[in-house]
Amino acid sequence: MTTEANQDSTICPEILKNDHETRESKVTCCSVCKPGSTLKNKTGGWRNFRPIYNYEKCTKCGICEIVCPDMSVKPREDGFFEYDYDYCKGCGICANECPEDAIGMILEEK
Amino acid sequence: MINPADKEKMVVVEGSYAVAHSAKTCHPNVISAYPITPQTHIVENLAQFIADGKIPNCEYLNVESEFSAISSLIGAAAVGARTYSATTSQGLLLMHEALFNASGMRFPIIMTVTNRAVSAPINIWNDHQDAIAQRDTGWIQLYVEDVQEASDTLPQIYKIAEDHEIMLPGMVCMDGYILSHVYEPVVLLEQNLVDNFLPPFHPENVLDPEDPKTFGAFATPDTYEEFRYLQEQAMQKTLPKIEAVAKEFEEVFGRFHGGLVDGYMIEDAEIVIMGMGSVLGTVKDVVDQYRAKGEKIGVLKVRSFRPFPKEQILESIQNAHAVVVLDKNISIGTNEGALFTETKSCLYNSKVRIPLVGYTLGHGGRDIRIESIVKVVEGTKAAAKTGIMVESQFLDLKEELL
Amino acid sequence: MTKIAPKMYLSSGHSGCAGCCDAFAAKFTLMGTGPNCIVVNPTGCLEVMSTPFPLSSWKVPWIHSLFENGSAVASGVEAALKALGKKNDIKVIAIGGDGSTMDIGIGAISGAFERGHDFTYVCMDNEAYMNTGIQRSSGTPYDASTTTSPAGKFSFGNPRPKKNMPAIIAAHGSPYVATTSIGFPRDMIRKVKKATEIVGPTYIHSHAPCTTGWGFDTSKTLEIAKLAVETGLWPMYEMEYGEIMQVRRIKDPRPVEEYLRTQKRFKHLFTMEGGEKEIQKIQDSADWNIKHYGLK
Ligand SMILES: Cc1ncc(C[n+]2csc(CCOP(=O)(O)OP(=O)(O)O)c2C)c(N)n1
Ligand code: SF4
Ligand code: SF4
Ligand SMILES: [Mg+2]
Repeated sequence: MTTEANQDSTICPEILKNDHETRESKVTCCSVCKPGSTLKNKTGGWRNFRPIYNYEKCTKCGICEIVCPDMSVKPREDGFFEYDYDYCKGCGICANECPEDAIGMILEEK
Repeated sequence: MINPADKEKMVVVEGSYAVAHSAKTCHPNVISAYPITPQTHIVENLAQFIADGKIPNCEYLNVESEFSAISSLIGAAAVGARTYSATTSQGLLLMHEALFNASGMRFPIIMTVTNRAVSAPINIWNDHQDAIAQRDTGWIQLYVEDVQEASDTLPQIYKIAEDHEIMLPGMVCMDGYILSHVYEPVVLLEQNLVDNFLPPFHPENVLDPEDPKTFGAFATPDTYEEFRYLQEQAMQKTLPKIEAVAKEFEEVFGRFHGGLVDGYMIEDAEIVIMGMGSVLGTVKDVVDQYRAKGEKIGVLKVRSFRPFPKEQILESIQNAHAVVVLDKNISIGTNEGALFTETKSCLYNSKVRIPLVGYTLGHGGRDIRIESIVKVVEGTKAAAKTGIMVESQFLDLKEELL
Repeated sequence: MTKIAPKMYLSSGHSGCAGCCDAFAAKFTLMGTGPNCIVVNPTGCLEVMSTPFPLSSWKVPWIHSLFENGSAVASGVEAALKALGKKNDIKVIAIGGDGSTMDIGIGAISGAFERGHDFTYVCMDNEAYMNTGIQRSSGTPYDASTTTSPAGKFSFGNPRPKKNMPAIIAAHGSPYVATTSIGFPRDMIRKVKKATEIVGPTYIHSHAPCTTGWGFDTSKTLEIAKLAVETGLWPMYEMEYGEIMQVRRIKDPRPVEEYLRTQKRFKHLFTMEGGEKEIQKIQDSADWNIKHYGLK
């Protein structure tokens, strides 16, 4: 992963570590929260359809990364992208917007 | 009581000027206000100070409403600014929603409220209905008796509110017109003394791209109650702080206006008159007359209405034979003023068993005359002897108009 | 689209609906501002979904106070930064929904623009009060069925056209007012960036189709946003001091019917008697836009 993609974990590493503490954080003055801490909410569980790349068709244009409302498309070192299924809600926008038809949506098996 | 050392320093100015001057010496970074009678002279004076370059590092916002006045101060306080506003009556009511918000967010925003009646009918004169309507918003409320106190209480309330253990907003309530527009000899606060007394404002949490925090998140039933609890805890910590800061102020400035409460001729008093604000001046005159006749009448000034100083009130009135509470407000539907209701409630679970009666008076600026206070004292003396006939009533109703 | 190094200052894990428009508006806004900003976000879907205490999706300093005071809070933030000598290049951004911008907060935004604070206001216009369950706002378009302007035997839905908010802001003498759409990320990011670089109060009005409120498949958020522009229903332009300087041209405007058909909120226009006439009225308004803004 590139440094950009690692940003989530660099900003708030302690948040990623202790997952179960989510609801135990102390109530504070002005209800201050730490930046980027919703990473504790693994919204991937909402998904009914799972996006899948066809890397043969992908031209690395990066549109999918821009058009994901859940910041779940992560660039890879090789210029391709991959999904962070911890957060992807399966909205299908990336597949819909991909100009090369390189993303398929398959039914999530639960 | 005028401190002899103060006498030479006194100048005759309008109450609003003294308050504006006091606000200036507290070095606010953002002032935001919307004009409303009788607050206008305070903000006009501040605008002039700004125009003359007399308040360094300060932005003055001519906002389009009181709602935006308080809202802009919420934003400013979040960045770490010391903030000031002044308002009254309809303006204070318009702020209502944001008052809860400022307190819940724990921003020590400070306001002077030049207390005024609320509409309808529209009326620009003094009573306490506007501020009393904000009693549950989580703001510290200090009621002052005269212009000197209105001005002296500002640096005090900043110091109280900005304590890291407290971090609550506060309002200094001064009677509109009666104090805001009166010309009185006062000591204008000396800048060097205020600088000694009031440390700069350095909140622990601020909005800053270097350390990007989130302010004002929403709380579910999982956490909301704890936020309320912490606010109440902070208010409780405010009780001793108000007393301590009043003493610190006395050490630096040589003036003391009371801490949470302040007694006058109260030690041996058989009848105690309780009240808030400028009416106490008239009440003290009446008490002097009674004392001259050898009657043991005393006064309990309630300076802090929020937090409500239950213990101090109980302690002050426990030896009285009867107590009368004067309220320039009414909670319609109870036929009682707020101070009366709350004083009664703090007696119930205590050992103090004395008759307590209340008068709601001075609505919309109705003059409170010496004779009326005498009537109140006589009524209370009767209650002490024969028991309560009428628990709470309007004073000086004009029957002929009804 | 050329490659924009996408620094994400909004993080995953927010609880916006799948395909949420407000998430896009926030994401693109932050891509335009970069990290050196303070964001004020009045009450609405974005605020609720991104900050469930003790968590936050925001990686920039962010404050929520109330529903109607976003612009006033931003005024105070800006004034305080100045007074404390911290303004330098910290950008002050307010980002609010159509309800908080055009309805309940219009007094505050008017005041802030008139006073000339150096900040950028981004309106994410999803054309109704989504957070409270899709009630009509003054941004709701003509004939859209919402929960408080429902279509029915005697109603085609919302009886009034959208309020022209950009024109109202422009009338304050703002140096830069632009309309954009989440369907055009590059356009939106560029305009936000430009707005924040201009000194003074600037305004970005971003059209933002809401999957839940408008009734379309979650995958269509951006597609429908583009359709709105391509039909002429949502003109994209830039104004400097009230003068239109740039418009996004549409070569072959698509019929509004194509756009209307995609959304449940307009479904009744295709089933009710007299619906055709209504659709024609909407077509007329698109045609008017095309002519008025010189979109062709
Ligand atoms: C004074 C006040 N009135 C009403 C509400 C309820 N309320 C909260 S969010 C909202 C609608 C938000 O609509 P909009 O600004 O368009 O944002 P959206 O949720 O659509 O993104 C309403 C009506 C409130 N919070 N405060
Ligand atoms: S399906 Fe939706 S949430 Fe998942 S990666 Fe694609 S755009 Fe993002
Ligand atoms: S209702 Fe609309 S705006 Fe609200 S979270 Fe869902 S998609 Fe986003
Ligand atoms: Mg909306």
